[in-house]
Amino acid sequence: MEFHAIIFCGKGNSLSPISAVKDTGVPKALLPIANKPMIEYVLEWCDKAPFREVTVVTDVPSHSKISKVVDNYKSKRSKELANTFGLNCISSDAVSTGSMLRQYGSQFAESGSNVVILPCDFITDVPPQVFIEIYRGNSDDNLGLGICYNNTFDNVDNKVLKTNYTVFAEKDDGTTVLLDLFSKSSVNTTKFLDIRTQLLWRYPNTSVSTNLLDSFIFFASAKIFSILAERKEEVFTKSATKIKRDLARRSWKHSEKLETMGLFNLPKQSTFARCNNLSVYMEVNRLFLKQRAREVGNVPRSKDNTAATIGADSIVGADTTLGERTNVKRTVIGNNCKIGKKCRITACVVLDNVTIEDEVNLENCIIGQHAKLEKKCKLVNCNVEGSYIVGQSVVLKGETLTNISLDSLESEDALYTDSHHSLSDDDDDDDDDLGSDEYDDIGFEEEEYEDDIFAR
Amino acid sequence: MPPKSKKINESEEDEQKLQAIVLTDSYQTRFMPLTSIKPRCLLPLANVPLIEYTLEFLAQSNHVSEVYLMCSSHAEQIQEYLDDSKWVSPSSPFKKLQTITSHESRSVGDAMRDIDARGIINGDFVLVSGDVVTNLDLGKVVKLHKLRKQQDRDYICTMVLKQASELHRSRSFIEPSCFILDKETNRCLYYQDIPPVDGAKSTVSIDPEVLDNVGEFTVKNDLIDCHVDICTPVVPTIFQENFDYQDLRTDWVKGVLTSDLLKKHIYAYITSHHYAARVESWQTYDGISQDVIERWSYPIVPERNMLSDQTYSYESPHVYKEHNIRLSQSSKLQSRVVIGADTFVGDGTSISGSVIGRGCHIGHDVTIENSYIWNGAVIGDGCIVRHSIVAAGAVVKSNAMLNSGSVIGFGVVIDKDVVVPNETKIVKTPIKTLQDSAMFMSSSEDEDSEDEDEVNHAVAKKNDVDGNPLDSSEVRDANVVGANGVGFLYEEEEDDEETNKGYSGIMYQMAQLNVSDVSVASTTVGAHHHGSKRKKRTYSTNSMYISGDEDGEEEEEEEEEDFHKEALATVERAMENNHDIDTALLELNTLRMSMNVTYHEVRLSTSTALVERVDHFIATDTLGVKDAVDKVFGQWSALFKRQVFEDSDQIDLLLIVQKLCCHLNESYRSMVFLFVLMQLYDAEVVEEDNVYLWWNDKESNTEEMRVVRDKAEKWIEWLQQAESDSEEDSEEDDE
Repeated sequence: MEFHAIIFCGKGNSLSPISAVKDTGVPKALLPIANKPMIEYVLEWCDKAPFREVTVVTDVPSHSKISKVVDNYKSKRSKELANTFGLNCISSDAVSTGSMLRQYGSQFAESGSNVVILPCDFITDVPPQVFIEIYRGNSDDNLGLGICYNNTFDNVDNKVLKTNYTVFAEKDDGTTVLLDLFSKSSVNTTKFLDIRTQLLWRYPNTSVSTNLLDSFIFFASAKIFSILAERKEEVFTKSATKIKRDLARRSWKHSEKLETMGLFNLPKQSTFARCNNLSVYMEVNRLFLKQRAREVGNVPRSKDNTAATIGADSIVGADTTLGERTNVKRTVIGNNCKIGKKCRITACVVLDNVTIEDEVNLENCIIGQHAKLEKKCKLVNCNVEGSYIVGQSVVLKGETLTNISLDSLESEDALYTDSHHSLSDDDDDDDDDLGSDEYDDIGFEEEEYEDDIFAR
Repeated sequence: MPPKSKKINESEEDEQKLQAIVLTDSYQTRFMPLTSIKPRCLLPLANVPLIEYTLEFLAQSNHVSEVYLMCSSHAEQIQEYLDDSKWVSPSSPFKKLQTITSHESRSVGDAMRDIDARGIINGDFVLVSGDVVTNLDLGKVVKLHKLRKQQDRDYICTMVLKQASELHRSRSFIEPSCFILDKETNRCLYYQDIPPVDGAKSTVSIDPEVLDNVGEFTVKNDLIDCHVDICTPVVPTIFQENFDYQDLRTDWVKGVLTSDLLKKHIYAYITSHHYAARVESWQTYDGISQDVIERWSYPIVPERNMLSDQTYSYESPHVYKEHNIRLSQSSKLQSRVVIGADTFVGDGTSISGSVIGRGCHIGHDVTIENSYIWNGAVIGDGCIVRHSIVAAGAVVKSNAMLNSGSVIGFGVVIDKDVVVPNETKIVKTPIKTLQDSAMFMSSSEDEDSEDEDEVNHAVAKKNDVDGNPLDSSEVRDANVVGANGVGFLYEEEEDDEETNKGYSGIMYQMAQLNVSDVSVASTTVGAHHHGSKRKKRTYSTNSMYISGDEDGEEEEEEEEEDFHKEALATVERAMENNHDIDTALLELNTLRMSMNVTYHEVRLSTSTALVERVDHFIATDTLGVKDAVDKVFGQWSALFKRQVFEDSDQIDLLLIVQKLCCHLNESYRSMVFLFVLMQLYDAEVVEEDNVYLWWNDKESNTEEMRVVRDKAEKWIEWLQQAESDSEEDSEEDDE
């Protein structure tokens, strides 16, 4: 079974202010986890499979940056891999997964191979073969297989995660099918979780989970593209989640049995996370630091008492200088940073090219690239945008610091609402799809339903 | 006082044991017309009255010491039946078996409120419906109940549910219940009835608030709800506090689960090994009968001989025979047949998938498939009976054919060669409206014995098939039962309402309320309206204020006044804001129940409000007399439909309206009255006969009342005229 993997790279709406939503930010795919761009983890994961072909799809503005990283990765690949399995990076001006499919769907349909849709921001210890095996094991009635996971970080509040009401049923053969999806926000506005009775007659023992998260990983059979192509234009404006939901509903809305949507819930003991918001991004970095600490063990203390102390649970990038008596714990510091004397940096993520002057105290902060922190400032639980300058002796707690520009002043409000909705539209890693804030449950096409669902 | 030590021992023992409340009345009309003569719990299933299955289940568990049977309609019959049963004998497994007659109850909710008022409950108890068939091990459920009670402070009830499939034959198709359960703990989060599989498209709408902190839950549409609940004593008090709760599931369970105040938890116990189902419709009657015959409910099978005089033995393939059966040589009992004693089966007859009662006579060359023939029925030669029920004492003469879904009532005679079409229900005595049927449901002593007589009569004549059993006085619907038949087509208007539109919310409740109201009102059949008021009042004081009889009188007066004010305001508000009828009715009904007043007061208040409004329109010159009446009564006289049930009620209503109109302005009062009369008549609130009765009533002709009669007189004359005309017409038609 051959697969064509497509990695969708979005801006990273919920990763503001350090992501490409801001001019000073980095595209999500390039945000470093333990000083390595996220996308590399995904590419490495792909090459474990390996997939016949991998295509990275980016939006136009970030294409040049991302393709550079992809090319860099390409050059590191082993020869036999590079010869057999293609890897390329394309840009698309599509605004939703739907319009993406309009551009490339026919290609996929013609090539007849299975397609794996991947986000650019996931980290997992589950090898791709596991997913492929599950996909193969699923019945032929399935159009595709979606992967769901549970949040495993205790520190991450469920509220910042985009959980849905995932409606699914376990079939007799042990496999699971997805039946419906509701976003929590839409349920909260209508005040009701509406489960169709048609569904209950088809699947009388239906489960609903409020904890499952959508991994965005989706295995699609070639058939799906021809079905989508049959559907009119409307599909092409929809987000991936909506397309998935509509296909799931299609399976029970009709009187005759139609193809179903498979669903696989990753077991709780496996590690899986999507770095699509700041708290998870932070946690994933810490996860790598912990692993490293375990591998490295205790670092012998430097004999020079005045030298900077870097804990075993910290990573410091290349060409970064640290001043005397500076203490770094549970922290990732990027490349080309300048850190002054007597700084205390605890549980932080510091991106590249950051300047930190003397006696700065940071705790649980994310610092964007090219930012500058002046002397003696003290930040706790803060997120700092790239190129931002924090003044001398500033003391702040729990703030998000962003550059004030005319531009941002204007878009401040828009940005605010954006991040609110980002819970749902982040799903659409392709781009900011404005229409996907809430799934329009009204758009449930009833006319296709025939009354004699169980003609007896 | 007995010695203390002994008392402690006793109470300890009792603590281990549970009380049981059996709801013998279903407060439904699903089994009409048969339930007009016998209560549901005494209808036979596999030749054993349903109540036996319930009691057997309670006895088997050994966890139940006291059983209380809540009876409403046909209470006397149930009492009589139990008096002769093994359950009251010295060897009975129950310490106490008591029937409680609660004529006032018109829903499960009312029964529960009555139970609470009587103070019967002194600990945890089993609430079970009198139509359950199960081999459930109650002990397990009780154990779980105790455990949950310890673990969850808010625990109040465990419902027993049977795992089945969505289209299981013993599952209710009329209102399949859908349970939303916490996957981990089986705590019930929400409940909703859904439309049948071929019914309307709908949704189960769950308030996200009830899902708070729940990780994963299941929406189950594949459970049989057998109405076996283990409850803590809190349950009846919740009913008492929420007097609008009627139905056990749609009101109570749903109400408790969605209430912001109660915060109580109800759990489910799902059994997949045991059998449990409820005979709650024709379809489940059929399904469960077949299940019992096919031994799914083992050890609850016919050869258990649950009645002491039964002598069933089992033969393969699922054939159960009592002693003393006469089977002709060439008759064939195919699989799945139960036959009672003293039954004769003729030559060339084939029976499969059916239950035949005792003392039946099945002729030659008869085909019976998947049908239920009750005691003493006669099936003539060459008949074909498919998927039908033939009640006790009915006679089906030779070569007749009963098609799927037909129900032949007690004592009905179907003439030879008659073909009974699908889904036809036939009764011996016409039940043309629900009011009438209600008279049967409540069945005063006299009617009862009469019915029995008739049944016996028919049985006695069973061998005289070709004779002429018809009394000259008896009437019949010749199109349905044939020239020499006895019986009438039973029209199922109300049932349709229940099945077609009554799936959710108030409408459904209304339909139910209506039915049950009737059964109450009719406890006073024939009594004069003033008398009926007093009489009903006594009932209510008995059941609601057990000890408060002396003060009752005063309290009542006060309450009546309060009620009048409140009700007046309610109706006025409804008209002002143009509420829908059902909302207004619900409010009125709630008021009525909370204030404990009779329907007379409700009618009085409603009429007062309506007439006042008419008066207002006319006095302010907003509308003309006729327009005003048409507008107000045209829309709102539907209110009376749930306030007027029997003939005396109609007369009472007319008197009320007449009196009210007397107090109006002289210039238009008689006009108003005339138009109101016409409206009430057109809306079928009052019937013609009762109009005459009222007209001739002394009370309507007193000096005070006479002032509005002049205009009405003409109309009455016209009515009589039209009546005789139409009679002539119909006579002509007959010829």
